Amino acid sequence: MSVPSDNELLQAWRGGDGSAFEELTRRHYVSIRRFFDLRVAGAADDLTQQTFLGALEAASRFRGDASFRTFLFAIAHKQLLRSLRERPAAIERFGVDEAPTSLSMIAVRQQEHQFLLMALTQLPLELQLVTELYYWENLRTAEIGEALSLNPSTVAGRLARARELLGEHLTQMTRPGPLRDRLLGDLEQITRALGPVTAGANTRTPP
Amino acid sequence: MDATHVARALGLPPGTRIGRYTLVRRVAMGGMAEVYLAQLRGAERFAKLVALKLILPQFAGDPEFARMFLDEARLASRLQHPNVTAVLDFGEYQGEHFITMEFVHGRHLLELMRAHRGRPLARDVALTIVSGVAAGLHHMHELRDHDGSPLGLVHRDVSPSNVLLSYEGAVKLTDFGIAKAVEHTSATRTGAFKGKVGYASPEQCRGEPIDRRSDLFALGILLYETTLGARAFSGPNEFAVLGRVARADYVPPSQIDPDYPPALAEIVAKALAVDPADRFATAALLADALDGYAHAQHWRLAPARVVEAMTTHFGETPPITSADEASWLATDPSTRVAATSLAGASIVAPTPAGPRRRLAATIAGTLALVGTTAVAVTLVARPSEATPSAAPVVDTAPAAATDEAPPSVAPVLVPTVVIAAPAAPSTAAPSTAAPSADPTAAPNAEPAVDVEPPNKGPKRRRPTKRADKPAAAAVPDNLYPPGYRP
Repeated sequence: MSVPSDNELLQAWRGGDGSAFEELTRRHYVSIRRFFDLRVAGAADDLTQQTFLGALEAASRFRGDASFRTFLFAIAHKQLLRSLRERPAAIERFGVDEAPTSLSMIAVRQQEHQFLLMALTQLPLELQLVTELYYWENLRTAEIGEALSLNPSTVAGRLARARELLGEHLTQMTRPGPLRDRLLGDLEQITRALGPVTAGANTRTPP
Repeated sequence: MDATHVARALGLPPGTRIGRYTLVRRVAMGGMAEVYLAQLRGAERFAKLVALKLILPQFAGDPEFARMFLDEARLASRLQHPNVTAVLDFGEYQGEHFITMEFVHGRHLLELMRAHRGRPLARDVALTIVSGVAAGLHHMHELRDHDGSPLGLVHRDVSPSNVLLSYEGAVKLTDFGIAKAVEHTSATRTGAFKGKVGYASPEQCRGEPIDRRSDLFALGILLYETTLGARAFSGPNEFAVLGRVARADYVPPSQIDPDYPPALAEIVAKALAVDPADRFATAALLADALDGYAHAQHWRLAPARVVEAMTTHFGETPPITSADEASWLATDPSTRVAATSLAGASIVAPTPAGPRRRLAATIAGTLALVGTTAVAVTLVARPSEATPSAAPVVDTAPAAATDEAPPSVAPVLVPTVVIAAPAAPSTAAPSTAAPSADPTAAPNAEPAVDVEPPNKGPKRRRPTKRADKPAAAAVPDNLYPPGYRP
């Protein structure tokens, strides 16, 4: 028996099969969780839940002309922006809002990956998101556009800008030598390889 | 985890003998070692309280940990400075290594900062603390080998949880577990980043060689955080933090506090320069800059203000030992505790203290405690001059580090120590919540010392010198220059 597609599961759910939505949730949980984990570690759990609840509510209106993943990321994106608006700027006060962090040095062993993550996390949010969805979630630029409410050409422009900025940060963060050469030479491939590494981010978050 | 490990997770029972030391209670517990309050007993009722640091059993057999532990002991034994916790002894008992250090009766700077709930410390208190740490650090940086050649040591883990503040106002840098000579240091060897990411220097984050100026960056972070009440470098994950540090990308002080003095902001900016060559060259120069600033404000950087801050946030100084602890310490613990194997095991309930015991306890407790208070800190002196008097009697400092960054993400090999609740061997459990109870902190993160023991312990007998030492809350006017009100 072949594995049902997202759309088939969605149809099964509409036909009254409650377990079909559970399967959809299981299937995409790690991606959605990581989407939040890397940015709002302390609230990732709640936001992930809210995203799936939101998807459940909106699923009956989902027309199926985009992929279900794109639809999920669109909801997650709105949740993320709302959460970031509610949180005060990047100032963390002692004894007030000491948030846990998610991905740690322990989880990421390869030096190239460590430096790339250091650089990636310094990008402006809108560039981080397109990079993540493109290289880690394998969404096409048109799909990213739908998820983030952007023109596909804007997505392509942001991807180019992200690669450029990544190169600049990596040049700042490394000395001339083999490590820098590898990073700048294989930037796209190393970025892609980071996907599976960061997918474990949520497993490190305290309950 | 076998039964022995479970037993050890609870800590060794009070009364356990380790060589010449008798454990009183565990005061801190970390990823790699645990720290106990212990009593050293000598001839003729000689008794002295110390901090005893023991490698956790699961690491005891690991040569790498044993080597780091020994390195720490060797290195720290050379340090002799009022702003550095003194190492007293290094020993081995039943195959486990331990270090004893002066016991610092007080709190971590991190606790004091958390108790401020996002507000900055009073600026003169902050400056007193940072310049004290700078003095201790400078001593370490300047350390020379027996042949006079510079050792080039770098602490690498200067952070609020490694700064101890005694209730007497002394400021002490502690935990030399990962301090190293310059040439061996490489920060980002795969998976082996040492130190806490939020207190690393840009060159540490980039995995480049470091020297003392790396610690100077960390001092800059301490200055920033104590004077602003906010983290200098934070983020949703370690890489975001490391990346910000690598670029020295911090929120300018004036954006957090519009009234932040530009002169102080300049000192912060210089300490937090990305290029080490742009920073203060030595910790002493940073201390001088702080001193100059304080002088211009007509402040005197004095332990009295630290005492005042401690009292305000943590209440009156609690006794070191509870009444029950003092009581059984007064007896010969060896008659009381049956099994004292380090491997863990049996906890023997203390016998109830009878009237005779109580009397003995009062005497012994007084003896033990007079030590601490006899050491009245000279209030007008700078901390670096003031604390020497503290050194002889009270000892030292648990290398306890509450986790600064989220507990679960402490990098490997870094001793993250959580202060354990006081385990009084008595039946009555202290229940008072710590005044600074912090919902985000681990439930047992508040040291027990905070809690008034259920039975009043032996009254601390103040030496007659007590008159010299004002109650912490009421600092005499003459400590400050005319016109200055803290």
